Amino acid sequence: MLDYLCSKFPRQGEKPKVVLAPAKDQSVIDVLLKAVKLNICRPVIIGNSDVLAEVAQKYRPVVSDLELIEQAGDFESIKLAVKMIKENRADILMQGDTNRKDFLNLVLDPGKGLAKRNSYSYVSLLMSPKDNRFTMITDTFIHTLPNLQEKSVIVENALKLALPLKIDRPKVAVLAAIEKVNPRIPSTVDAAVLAKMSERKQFGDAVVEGPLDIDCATSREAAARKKLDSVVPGDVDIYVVPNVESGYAFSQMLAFVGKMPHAGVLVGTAKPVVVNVPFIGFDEKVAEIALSAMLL
Amino acid sequence: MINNFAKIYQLAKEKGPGKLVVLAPEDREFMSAVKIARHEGYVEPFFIGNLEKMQIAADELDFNVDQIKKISGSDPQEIADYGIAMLFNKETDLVSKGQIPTSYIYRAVIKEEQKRGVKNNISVASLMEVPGCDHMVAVTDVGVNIAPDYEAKVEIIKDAVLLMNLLGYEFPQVVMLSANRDYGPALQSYLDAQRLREEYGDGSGGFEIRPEHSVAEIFDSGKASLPHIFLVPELDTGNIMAKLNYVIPVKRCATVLSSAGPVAIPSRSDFTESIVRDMALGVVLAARIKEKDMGLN
Repeated sequence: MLDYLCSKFPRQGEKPKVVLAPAKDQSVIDVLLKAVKLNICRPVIIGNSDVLAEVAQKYRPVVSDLELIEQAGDFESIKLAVKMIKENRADILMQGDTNRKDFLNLVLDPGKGLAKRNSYSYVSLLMSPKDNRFTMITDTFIHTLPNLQEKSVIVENALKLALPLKIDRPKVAVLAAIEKVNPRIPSTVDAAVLAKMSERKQFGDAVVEGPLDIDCATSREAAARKKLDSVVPGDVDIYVVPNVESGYAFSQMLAFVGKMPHAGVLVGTAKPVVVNVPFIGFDEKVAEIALSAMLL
Repeated sequence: MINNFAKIYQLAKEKGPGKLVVLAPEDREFMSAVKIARHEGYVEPFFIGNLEKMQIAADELDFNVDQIKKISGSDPQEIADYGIAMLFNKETDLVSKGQIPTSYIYRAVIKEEQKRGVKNNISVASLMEVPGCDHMVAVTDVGVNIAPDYEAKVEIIKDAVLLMNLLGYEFPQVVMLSANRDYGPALQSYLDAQRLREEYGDGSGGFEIRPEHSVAEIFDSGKASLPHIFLVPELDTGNIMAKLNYVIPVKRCATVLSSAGPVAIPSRSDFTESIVRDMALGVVLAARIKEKDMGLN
């Protein structure tokens, strides 16, 4: 996944600055410095004096533009990083080794943080080993049970990521338990409305189809058997899941049982934020920085 | 212990043919599945449905169905009611869905269960063979309960435990899927999992509760060993978990284990191979219920 993203990455121009806060754990710092080595970004590291001394010793000789900022305390470090982004002194915020809940509460605060309310969602990105094709599943982290308005934002955010990944005319499957519109099952009604919005070009060039159950979404033949005529089944770029639990189950089954390389990106914040989510491999964490940079 | 579908086919052949009522095998895939299951000696079929449509489907496949008993029916609820009543009256070993919506079958089963006062709720378990996994994995409930509450979830787990018992797993492990993500409010599915741990953590339910709540946690534990039973929090997750066979190399089939025996539940989009698996599993389950004398009240 990382090799592929690097090949898509623009070689020219000034690289964005990624500010890591708070830097504590060596493995997180290594992720950032690998991205720097691959010419994806320039590093800004916020941490206490001990950590910075270690980083300086290890990386100063090999990284020319290493920017180190001393700041004690997790909360203060994150606040400083957010301030830097707001003042355009850095471009991308990267979560260091700190409690995810506290980090997100601070960063996503509608007033003081980097995002407007209801503007952001999380996209899991998987790569099929068969044909190197990307598949997105969203929202797999932020919304517990998104309503129609939130799903509309979720679709728009995923499309923002499709653009730099050069996914032409993205095909979006809005999943529900059945493929028929059932007024008693809200996920089917939401999906139908999103499909209608797409028909009216409210999502630009993308083709949004729904409701689709998982068999119809993943197999053209299964869809044909249910007499469903659409270009989306069996050729999906983006799956929109009805709730976070189904998002977890779907993305993790593909990632772990299907052995697909996987990463995740928060989309829709004012400036990209790389969240330190568990169960992501080292190279895929580097890929997450590349993906965030593509969103700029 | 039955740990793959090859063993299920083998046992279906040994124990079969089981008496099978098929509810409206009115299209090619369903009829073709019946033809194969009969040819393999798994089942002795009995049809309920539109006689003309069933004949056309059979003719297309050069399947001589003259000797197969048939009852004419066109209303899906009547077809389901009749077939399920046959199961509860011990006139058949198992029932399989054909070309009618599943909701009619669920309704018919629940009606019979309530009539007998045995069960108030039913569930559909999807049984998967996963490459690299040394046992079968059941995912439940993937069909009936849209958003089960805690009590319903306990019933659903008990149905799946019985299913796994019949397949030879005496003390199956359960993972209750949720999304424990350090963000936002605690999910009901997580709270229910905690409660289940408090109430059944001692093994008194005949199952072991695993500490994980997601597939990623299972693989991260280093053991990467899937549980015998995944309980899904609601139907949307169930649908996804149960039908991933088009994107990852798993094989699956689905069943409702009623107190009178199994009802095979192929999806309307399933193809012959998968439907034959549903029927073969049903035959094996029916035979094991008889052997253990745990069927019919």
